[in-house]
Amino acid sequence: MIGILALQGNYQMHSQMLDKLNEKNILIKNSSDLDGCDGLIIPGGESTVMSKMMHKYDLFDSIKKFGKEKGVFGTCAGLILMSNYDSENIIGLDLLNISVSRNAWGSQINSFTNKINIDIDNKIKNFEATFIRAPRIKRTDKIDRSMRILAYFKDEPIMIQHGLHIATTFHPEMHNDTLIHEYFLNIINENK
Amino acid sequence: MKKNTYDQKVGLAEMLKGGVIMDVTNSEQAKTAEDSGAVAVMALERIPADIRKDGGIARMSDPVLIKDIQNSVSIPVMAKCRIGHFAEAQILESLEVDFIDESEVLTPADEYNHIYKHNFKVPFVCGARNLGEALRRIGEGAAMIRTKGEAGSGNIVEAVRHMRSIVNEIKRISSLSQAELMAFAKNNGAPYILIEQVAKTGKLPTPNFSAGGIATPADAALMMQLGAESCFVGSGIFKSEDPQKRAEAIVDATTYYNDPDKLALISENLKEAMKGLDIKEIPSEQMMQERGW
Repeated sequence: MIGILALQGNYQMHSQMLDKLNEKNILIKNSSDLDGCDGLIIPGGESTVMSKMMHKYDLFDSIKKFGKEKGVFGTCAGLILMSNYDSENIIGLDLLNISVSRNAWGSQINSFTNKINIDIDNKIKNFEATFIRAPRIKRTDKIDRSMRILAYFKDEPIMIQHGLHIATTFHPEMHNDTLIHEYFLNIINENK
Repeated sequence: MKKNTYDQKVGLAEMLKGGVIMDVTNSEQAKTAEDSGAVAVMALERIPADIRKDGGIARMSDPVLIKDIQNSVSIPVMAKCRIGHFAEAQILESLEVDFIDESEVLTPADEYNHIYKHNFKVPFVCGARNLGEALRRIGEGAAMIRTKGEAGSGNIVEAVRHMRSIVNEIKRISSLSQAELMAFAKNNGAPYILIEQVAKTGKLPTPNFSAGGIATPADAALMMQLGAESCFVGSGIFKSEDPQKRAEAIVDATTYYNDPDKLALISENLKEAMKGLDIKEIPSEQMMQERGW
């Protein structure tokens, strides 16, 4: 069973993707909801809101602990929350040792969709990626060697994996293509 | 590369679900809103309660005010233009606001036509009181619908009426035959193709948020349980005695809308809410919800 953090954001669309894959899933609003989950999705939305609520409602430490043993998949705001971000309004979970900048392509008018190639299971697969007020991963040269970069857009990483943790700067839940969700479920099943 | 598609516009609305969009009139209030957990802010010169009190023509805000607010927060910034005033909308697009609200809170500029919103790169949100109105706005290109309620009243009764009406009409058309759908489309002035789509999917093609009268955490919880996917709060926050605390409480209530034990804690010690108006006290020509066609 997969938990989907449901403090704010488009958690319903992730739930629909997992339904399509016949994977049981529940919405997570309290730390006790994580009991029995094999993995967690942190959806897109506003990272300031989710960070604040995670701290206020005691989810921060429990998700951090959960992430030490289990799979976590973050998209857009979820990637920011999995990073080492540290500011007045956002403290990252530090599950991925990356630095990111928020809304780094500009306002909504600069949101875009592009075909990308994803390197998974030793194959290159096509995927339609939509970036909405998306973050960017900073300083690629300093990315930890233990991290796998699964996809690039114009030479910069947009999808990254470290062990059981994956994150995308784009929204893999938006176009009915379950490729990345399936990949996440495979990572979790191999860990069982 | 594809940009400014309808999917991307609705996509941003999807990201704002389960959150609170707060009206702010300066950068200090915008910061308070962001710190309290607002998912976006609506930049305007006067909040609806003051527009109602001051009278006169309410127009788009000064671009300087909007830019100030954009510079002070990292969350999306929305701004309002008058109904039908596409030149105001063009100016807001040039300022790169994240969403334009073609809003009944401002004085309408056109008494027959709304803006053709598909022509814009920036997504639009529009108010609606029923399914026909919501689908007319979506037909014109709105990427988000908010029920109108009665802005600046601090009274939830109209927001409830409008949300129930949209939700009930969606339920009703789900059971109609195709011939009956055409009659519904005709009687409600809604595009047939959208009526067909809603009847099939059982929901609007865009997110459906609530606005116009939310003043307490319980109000937000009520609207979310009735089917709202997020809440707009206008006067309810900065017309209350302790705006930051109330803002935080409404944000928390929007997340934990179906958890009464948490809602009880969230509702404690918030000091005075905005005073509010009985809808019967508002002269009919001053009802903002009647604006829009």
